[in-house]
Amino acid sequence: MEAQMIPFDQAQYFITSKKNKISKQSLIKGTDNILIEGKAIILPGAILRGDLAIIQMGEYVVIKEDVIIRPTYAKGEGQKRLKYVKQKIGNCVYIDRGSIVCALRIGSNVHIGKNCIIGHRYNSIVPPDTILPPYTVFGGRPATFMGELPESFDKFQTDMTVTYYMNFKQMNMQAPMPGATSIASARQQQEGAPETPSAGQNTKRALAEHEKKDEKH
Amino acid sequence: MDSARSGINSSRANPAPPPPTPPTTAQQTNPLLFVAQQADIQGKISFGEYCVIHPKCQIIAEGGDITFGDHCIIEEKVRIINRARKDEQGRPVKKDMFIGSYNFFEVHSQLDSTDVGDMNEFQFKCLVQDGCKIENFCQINSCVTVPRGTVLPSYSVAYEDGGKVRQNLDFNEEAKRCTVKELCTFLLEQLPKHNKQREQ
Repeated sequence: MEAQMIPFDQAQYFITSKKNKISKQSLIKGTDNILIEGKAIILPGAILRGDLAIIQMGEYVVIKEDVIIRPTYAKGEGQKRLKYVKQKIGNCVYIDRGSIVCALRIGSNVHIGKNCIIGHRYNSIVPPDTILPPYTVFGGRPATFMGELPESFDKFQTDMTVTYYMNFKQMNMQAPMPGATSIASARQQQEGAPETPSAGQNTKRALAEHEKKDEKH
Repeated sequence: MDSARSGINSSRANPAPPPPTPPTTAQQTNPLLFVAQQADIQGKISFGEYCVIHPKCQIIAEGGDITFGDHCIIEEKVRIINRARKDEQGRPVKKDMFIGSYNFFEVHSQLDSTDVGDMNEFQFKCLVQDGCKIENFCQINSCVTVPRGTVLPSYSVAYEDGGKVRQNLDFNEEAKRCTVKELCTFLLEQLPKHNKQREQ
């Protein structure tokens, strides 16, 4: 995979202490309930509904434009009422633009394509209570088994999300990074790079401020 | 429920306008209603009890009022529009739009100037075009377009593009009503903790 610079305007993003890059044009609700491990990228137009239930995300999660992430609802054990339940997203997950994700749990090293819908209960694009086994491709309406993936897919996916994160650079940067070919070398460069002064923001605090501003508008 | 439905039917059958309920004051008189501040609401719209309007949805009443029944859930990015119409001489025609009770609009669904009955479900990214009529207990599956002027009878399921419709004979009315009620109750408790309510 070729490394390509993805420029972004620093004024339009929060860069937090855990190195998350979160667009100010995204709608994030219930900031107390969103737990991000770090190094996530959230692009403009994305909607995260933490006010419904907890959303837990791992490292290197890339959420592209107009993606909607909302927890699903289910009846818990011993509970009589329906309620929204916690949603877990693993490491190195790439969600392409226009997708709607209402899944209960997404594992690590998952690629979700453009305009996909992962629905909650009823027949939808991915049918109810479906478990997509590892190393498989599902597609169509409703989603059916389409093929298998090679065993090296997890490495490929890790490489892809990490490279995406590494290449997501400020617009006014003079010297572009010379091709992040391997993760190890990219990581070394990242660690060696000087921190920007605004990079000390706490994720929760930044998101809470953002939410307040949003409400004022 | 029966009384509620009969109330809606009678208002539909009777051409006399329903009792004037200003949309914005309805929220003040009715604490069992949540309308998020970031929802885009234009025109005269009145909601019933236990309705939940999520942020970032659009409800626009250009060509007449929109009346919602009880227990309606409208999620984000939903567009419900009552379009402005003109008669042959170019004068604007006012036509009200009625949406019944227990309706569930999921993310990205779109409804254009269509009367809707009770207990319908509009799934992700579906589109109902101008001048359709949707009766009770219908389900419109995700990414399905219901073409202009279609009449969907009760218990039908629109499952594919091109107007393919089948009948759902084992529809469980009671379970559906419970589900929507429970969701409404949960959302009415949960959403005000993190979202601001619309004032006016």
